Amino acid sequence: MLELRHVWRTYVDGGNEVVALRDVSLRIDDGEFVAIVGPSGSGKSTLLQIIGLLDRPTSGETLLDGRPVDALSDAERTRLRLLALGFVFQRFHLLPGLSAVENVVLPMEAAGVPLEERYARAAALLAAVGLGHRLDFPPSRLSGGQRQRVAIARALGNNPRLILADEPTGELHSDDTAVVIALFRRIQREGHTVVVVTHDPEVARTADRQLEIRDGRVVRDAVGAAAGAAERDDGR
Amino acid sequence: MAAAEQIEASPAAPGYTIGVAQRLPYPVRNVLRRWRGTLGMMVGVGIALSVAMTMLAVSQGSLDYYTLDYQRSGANLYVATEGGTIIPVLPSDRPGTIERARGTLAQVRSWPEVTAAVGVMNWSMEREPEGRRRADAPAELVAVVGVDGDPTQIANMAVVTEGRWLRRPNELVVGQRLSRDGGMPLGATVRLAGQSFTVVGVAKLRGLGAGVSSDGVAYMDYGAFQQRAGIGDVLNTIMVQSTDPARTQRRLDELGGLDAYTPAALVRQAEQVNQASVGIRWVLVGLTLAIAALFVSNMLGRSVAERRLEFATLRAIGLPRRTILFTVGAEAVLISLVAGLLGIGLSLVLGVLLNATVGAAYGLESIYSTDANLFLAVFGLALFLGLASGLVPARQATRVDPVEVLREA
Repeated sequence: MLELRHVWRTYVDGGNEVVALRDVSLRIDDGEFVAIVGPSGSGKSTLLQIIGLLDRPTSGETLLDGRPVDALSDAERTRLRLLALGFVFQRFHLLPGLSAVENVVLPMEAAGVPLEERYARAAALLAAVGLGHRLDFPPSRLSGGQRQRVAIARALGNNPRLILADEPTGELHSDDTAVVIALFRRIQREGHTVVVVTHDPEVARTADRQLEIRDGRVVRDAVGAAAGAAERDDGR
Repeated sequence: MAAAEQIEASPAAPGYTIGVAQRLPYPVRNVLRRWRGTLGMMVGVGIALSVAMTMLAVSQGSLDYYTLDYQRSGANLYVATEGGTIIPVLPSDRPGTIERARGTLAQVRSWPEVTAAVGVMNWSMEREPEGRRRADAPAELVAVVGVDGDPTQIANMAVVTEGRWLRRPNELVVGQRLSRDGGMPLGATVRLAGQSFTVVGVAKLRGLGAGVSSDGVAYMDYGAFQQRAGIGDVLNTIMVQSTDPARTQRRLDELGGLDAYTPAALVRQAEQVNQASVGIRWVLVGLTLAIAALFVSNMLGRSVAERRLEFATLRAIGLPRRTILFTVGAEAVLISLVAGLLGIGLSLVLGVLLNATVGAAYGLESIYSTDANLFLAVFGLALFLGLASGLVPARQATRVDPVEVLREA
């Protein structure tokens, strides 16, 4: 479904060239639950931004369903982000003036989903993440865990195939972390592909596959039981 | 597993009732929810617009000061001596004097299409105080208009607020301001140039022109006036009401030595005279609006800078630049619309106050004249400038780099 071929990403910071990604090649198939792990500054978030069509590689190629996407126009990439991808951020980034249901409705409105349908779908999604009784609550009246669940519901609005999450449990307590992990699992079972950048070993253990990044390179790509085993080894 | 169970146990999706505001597109919803944040801008720009509109309305009022009397007096021709100036351009401009005036007036009145003709002449006469006058007391001069003919025959020409118009040579009608400030109430006896007159009315004549403050003069029968002033058979202006003004004008041309003007021609002259000051006022209005636009642009720019994370999030989750452009643009439009309405409201209140205070103090019917077309023009200009001023911040908002902003966040 998603493929990166020899992707490099460099940028200039204070006159110095910084290499964020070095010759990264990987393939993520439909229905996978992938955790991208690694120390801070290793290039995890840059990788997620390239996968999420927010950033473009300096060289190399990104393919979505076999189709190169790096050369697409900004408007086309925006449209792809709207329809094919769902984002979950560490700090939720809900719009403060909108209620939970209005936050979830927003991407659907941009995608042209009819009014009644988008509100019904948003209400159903919020109920599915356990917030059916908080539809009209503004983010300021929700706990951190509840906000992240609204953000997950928002990411699912247009039924995207790929959900991308950047440290989704970074701001949450352990109880809320467990809820979010369970939600990602369920989302995966429902047929979505989930890619999570995380420092949280618990989240990483839950994934079917772990990609470890160090200094901009993929240094480990462990699948299935090996992923969990590797994580356990790391945790020892 | 406990967490998963917790989610499974969540309530089913309720039947959600969509509110009225939720049916609106996001840019409009966003503007409505943020209206409190834009209130300061609305009030600031509203005040600037009210100043601009008031300047224009006062400009219109000053034009009316020159012209409205001519349009309202009921006369449709104003006659002066050839070369005389009814609308003064220079301070030295005067209407001049029509010689052999009574004969001319009689001839005009004899034409069948002329329904009425009133001749007027301005002069100053010394008012003599009652009792003995101190040797060093300065002479008090009163502006007097001698009136030949009955102006009450022409609808709207004589505006009588108290008493009645002149009937006898020893009567005096005084303007409202002169009556109030000069101590000439109804029934008072006033000695002018050696003769006593009784004040029988408080009134003014329309059509005397901008050079004469019709509220600050005394009106006298022309015969008595001629005698008291010691002048010959002369008049400044003859005001004519005719059923066929074009024909009357041709006859006046044939008489020779006279210039006749229609009210429309006088308005055109006045507009030409006022062109420079109107132009200057439009420049001031333009500057005021430009400052207001810069203010909106600056404030919106700051608002966009404070909301970079919001715009970055919108870009990241796939909202097109167009939506963000409309989101900020809609704020600029709302500010302009509300400010425009506020400006009109404030300007109207200012107008009422100006007319009641400054206008009344100077004996002017209206110093502030509302003009729907002018207001519409300013409103349209404000809307355009609002949109223009919103353009830069709106483009800033669309250029927010989600990668950079989300990384910082």
